[in-house]
Amino acid sequence: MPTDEELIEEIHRGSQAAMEVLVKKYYKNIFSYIYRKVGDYHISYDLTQEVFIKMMKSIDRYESTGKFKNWLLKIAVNHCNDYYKSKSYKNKSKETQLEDRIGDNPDKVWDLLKKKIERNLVKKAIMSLPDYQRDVLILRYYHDMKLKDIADITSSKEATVKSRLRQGIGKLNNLLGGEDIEERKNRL
Amino acid sequence: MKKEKIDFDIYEDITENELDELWSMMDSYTVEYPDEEEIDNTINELRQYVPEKEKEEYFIDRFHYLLNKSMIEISFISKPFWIMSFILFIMGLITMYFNKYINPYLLAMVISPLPFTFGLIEIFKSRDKGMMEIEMSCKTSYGEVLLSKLTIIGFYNIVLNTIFSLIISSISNVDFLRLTLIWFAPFTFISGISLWLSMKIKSSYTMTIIVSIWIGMIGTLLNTPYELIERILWMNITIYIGISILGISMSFIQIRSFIRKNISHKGRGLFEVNY
Repeated sequence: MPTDEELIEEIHRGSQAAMEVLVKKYYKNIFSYIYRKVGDYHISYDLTQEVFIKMMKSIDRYESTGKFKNWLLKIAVNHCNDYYKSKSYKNKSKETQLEDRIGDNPDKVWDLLKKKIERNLVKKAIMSLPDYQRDVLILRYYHDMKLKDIADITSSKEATVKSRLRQGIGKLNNLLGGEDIEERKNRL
Repeated sequence: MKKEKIDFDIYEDITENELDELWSMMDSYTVEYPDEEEIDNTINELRQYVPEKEKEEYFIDRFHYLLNKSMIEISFISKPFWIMSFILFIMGLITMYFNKYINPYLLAMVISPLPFTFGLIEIFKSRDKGMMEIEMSCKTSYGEVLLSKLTIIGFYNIVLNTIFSLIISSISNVDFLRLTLIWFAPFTFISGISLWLSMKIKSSYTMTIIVSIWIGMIGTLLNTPYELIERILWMNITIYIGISILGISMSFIQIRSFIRKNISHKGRGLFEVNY
């Protein structure tokens, strides 16, 4: 299997196959980050595509440091931040608030399996975190990244990353802690 | 759970048990990924952003790849094809050697397209046996296998014909250039027609029909007055060249349309190295 740097070299030389391999290698990684960040499948799909378009447009500027994954994740983090500042997010956000109120019917929720409820609770809890805390948490927990790399990707200091992680986990523990699922649900 | 133990010092206000519980809950937040088709749509959208390959480099790459592929494909072509084609030319030479009355131009013309026609049976045998889908799902596409086999069989046919012409011109004192053109014109023309029919009719009987028609045509020609044969054999060279160009064009069009039908991504180079 060629390295990321070799694939990029091939892309520079016009290889479609190398692009295909590189995208397939990181697609799920980028999609999972975006999905956990925005919480919507269709928006995540579109944003993932846009991230890869940005990757292709700026691939000339990638310096072969051996950390292509981090470079790509940085594009994804910045692109999601741009999305949250965009008008389309603000409009979508108003719609979602309305949908959430309708969807909060306890009878419907209890019809779901326990696992699904738990998944939704975690999703809701993560989505309730501020943007910067969510970023750090997703990258640390779901992408198993080092604090130093997270600091690099989010363009912040390592101490800041630590503090955001602590605050984020603290909030999640308050929201999701305890045995009673109904209680947790009410907290959210 | 290595990372949470390392990070534990960060979370001052949470007990280790609480943290373990939280991590296990977070594991339940799974992601529903897009399917392969949706990922492929994204990839196809990205193709336009891949820099254009330099033409010269692209053709050199393609040529090298085709040569390498052909070398591999040689081992997959059945032995009876090589032997049968070779015996056909040996028989032609023996006939020529012992029967001085046979016209060498006519003999070359009759024999020249036959190995390629036999070869087409070899090329399309996987399609006729329903193996094409399996070959297409492999790392190398069916289009690539087909072109590699066509290259080998065409090349083998040309080599046999050239050796045959060289030997005949040395033993019967005929014009080598004219002899070459006389076999090259029917060779390209019949190859073009055979290829066209093979694409249209998916049966191994196609080649049997072509060979029968060709032999029938030659039989009819031999029964016509000798002056007519002489006329055909001594036509202006440009006519032979014209027939050759027509045959090559027919083959080229057929191959191109086959590749378009059988390669899923049009933007992807046919001979691009697969990772």
